[in-house]
Amino acid sequence: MLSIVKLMQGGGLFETGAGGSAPKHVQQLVEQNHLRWDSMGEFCALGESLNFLADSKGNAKAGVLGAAAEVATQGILDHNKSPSRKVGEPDNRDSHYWFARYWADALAAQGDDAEIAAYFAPIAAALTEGEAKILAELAAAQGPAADIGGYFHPDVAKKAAVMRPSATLNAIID
Amino acid sequence: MTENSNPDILYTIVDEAPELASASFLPIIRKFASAADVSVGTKDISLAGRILAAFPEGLSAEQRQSDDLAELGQLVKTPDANVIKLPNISASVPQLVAAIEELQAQGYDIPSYPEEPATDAEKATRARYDGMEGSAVHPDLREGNSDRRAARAVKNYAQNNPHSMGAWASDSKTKVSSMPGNDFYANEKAATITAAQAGNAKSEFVGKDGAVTLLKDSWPLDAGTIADATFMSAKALGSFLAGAIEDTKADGTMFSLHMKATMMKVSDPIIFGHAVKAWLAPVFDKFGAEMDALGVNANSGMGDLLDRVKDNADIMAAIDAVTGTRPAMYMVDSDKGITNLHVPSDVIIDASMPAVIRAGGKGWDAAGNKGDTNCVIPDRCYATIYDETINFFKANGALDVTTAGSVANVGLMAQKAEEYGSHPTTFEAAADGTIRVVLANGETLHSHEVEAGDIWRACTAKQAPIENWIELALDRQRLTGTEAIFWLDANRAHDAELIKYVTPALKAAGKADLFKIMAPREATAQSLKPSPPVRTALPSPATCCVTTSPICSRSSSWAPQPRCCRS
Repeated sequence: MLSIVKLMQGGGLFETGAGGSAPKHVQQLVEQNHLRWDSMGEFCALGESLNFLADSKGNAKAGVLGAAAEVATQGILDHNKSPSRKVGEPDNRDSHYWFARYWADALAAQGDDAEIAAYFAPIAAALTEGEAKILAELAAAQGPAADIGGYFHPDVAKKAAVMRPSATLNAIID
Repeated sequence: MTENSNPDILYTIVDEAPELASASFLPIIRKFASAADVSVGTKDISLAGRILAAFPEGLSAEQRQSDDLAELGQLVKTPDANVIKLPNISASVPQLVAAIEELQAQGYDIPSYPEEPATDAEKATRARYDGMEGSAVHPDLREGNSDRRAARAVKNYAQNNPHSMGAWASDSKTKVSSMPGNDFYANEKAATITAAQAGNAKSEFVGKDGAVTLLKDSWPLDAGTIADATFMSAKALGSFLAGAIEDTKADGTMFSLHMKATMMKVSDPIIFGHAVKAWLAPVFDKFGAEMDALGVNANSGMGDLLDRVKDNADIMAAIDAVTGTRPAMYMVDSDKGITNLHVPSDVIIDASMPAVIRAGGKGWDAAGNKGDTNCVIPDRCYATIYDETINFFKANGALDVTTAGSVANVGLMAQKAEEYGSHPTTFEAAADGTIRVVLANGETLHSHEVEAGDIWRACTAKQAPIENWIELALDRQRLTGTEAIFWLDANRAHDAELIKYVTPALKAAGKADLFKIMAPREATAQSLKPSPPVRTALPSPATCCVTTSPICSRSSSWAPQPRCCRS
């Protein structure tokens, strides 16, 4: 799932796992607008990458982000927020909402960096308050065929429109 | 967001599902990271991106793309590198062709894939496309060795929420079949290059008439590099496959072939093609010339073959007749009639074998029925890992997910170590003769008598990466405090040379008693053994495996044995 390549010159390469079933996932997205890709590998790699940045560059803020990303990863697992395989059930996009929420909660709650905690407190609140609306917007997108404008070279705007269907979530993130 | 020219973290733009996921996840990462003044940039290593970067000639200024893979390849050689690399396509030829056609349809003026390049221009185009085949990205980026282990959160979750496991029956007929000899394992020769031997080596083919054909020139070998060469006999492979098909039928199981055609992009499609030819042997015997004329290439798989012969009723009837005499076939997609032999890149050993093992040794046949399968893995270098695992589960039943440990893995792969079976050091012998490696000082390092069709491959591992790999193993052992095993087979030429590095290094570190050196089969058996005190006392890995295996160390998927990269 996660491979850390300790580069011989001191850098870090964080590989995030297998794409073996990726073609079937794309097919399902195009036909049913449901993406069952599990981003767990990306969640783990993100935490490791941020922690590496903290250790290698003495970047304390990155360390705060990294520790909170690990809490968010644990949250996804503990609360069973990984994507389901079936259309109509929570998918990859839902898991990203939950990751953002757990990440923001952890950042708002931590005591190592008050500035970061203050920044994320309203974001965490907005993500919590918006839960029902965001999940409903994500769910509403599923079912019909999705147009991403290509398989190997999808259209960037179309891809973004399909993968970010919650206006409420986008307003918090953008 | 504007791209920082020197971002703290680089996130890769890739292909397919993970790239779709990034469209949703990357904006979240950037939003959160910016609050901590951490900048996140991107590099496009997608197949489409690499094609566009390679053929700027016909593209408008807006359409052109920079060669991000080359830039990333330079960056990983700097101390500042911090790269999150998502899975990307290891392109087979059919995927490459499909990507080219899609880009052309989108209005990108790039050349079509020259299937049979004739002119110099076509040959040049083909050479550029060949560079994108297979796992082209990994060798460029892997300027280090790998340190893999199950994330604590994920392992905890799996133990607390065990996923389903197929039951293993002691009378399961599922097994691994490999060649009895004359494979890569048997024919391997290896040596460590001395100072006097260092310099630009070359490999060449010497025909029966004495004529010398250069295979690969300017192959730099430094002192301390382990250089090995071996071949698989095409005749021995053909007769083994014919036997395996009959054996499968006698067992009443399904025939399945497990290869890594995406990464071993020269050797494995050829082996795959031999399996297609063995399966349809009577058809090739009778209609070989007609099928040639129709452009059939067995290495492209049964899917391509059927597409080319579908309008020839005689050939189609002959295929139906042969199919009726064959054992059941392991299917990729029973509903759509996609067999194991349809596309060389569909069944990838490091994903397919764990799937079979986790399902209790079961595969699915054309009718969608679950059943035992003969897992054909012709070469024995690593097939023993799967064989031993299957034997263990037959004897002991499936692992209990709630108690099974995991195996951390330190893999040798830096600076293209252990890169074999791919361009440009793998060749199919054009005729009977000799293939040899000739050193800069004129000395012949390795020499193999080959027959037409034999698959010859060479591989190197440099000294600094090997030493770094041993250091990483020492670190990992120290951090986990568990037993650690170097998975090296003293009876294999390449591994025997590596052991010459490992043994003194462990002794010098005063850690020889904490490590074992075991052949992959024995290491698998040792790793699968229950170790009760370790499990309860130590949620971290039950053992630490140090491997050179392309399966365990380089794949981005599951490692060979179920505890390795489980959960």
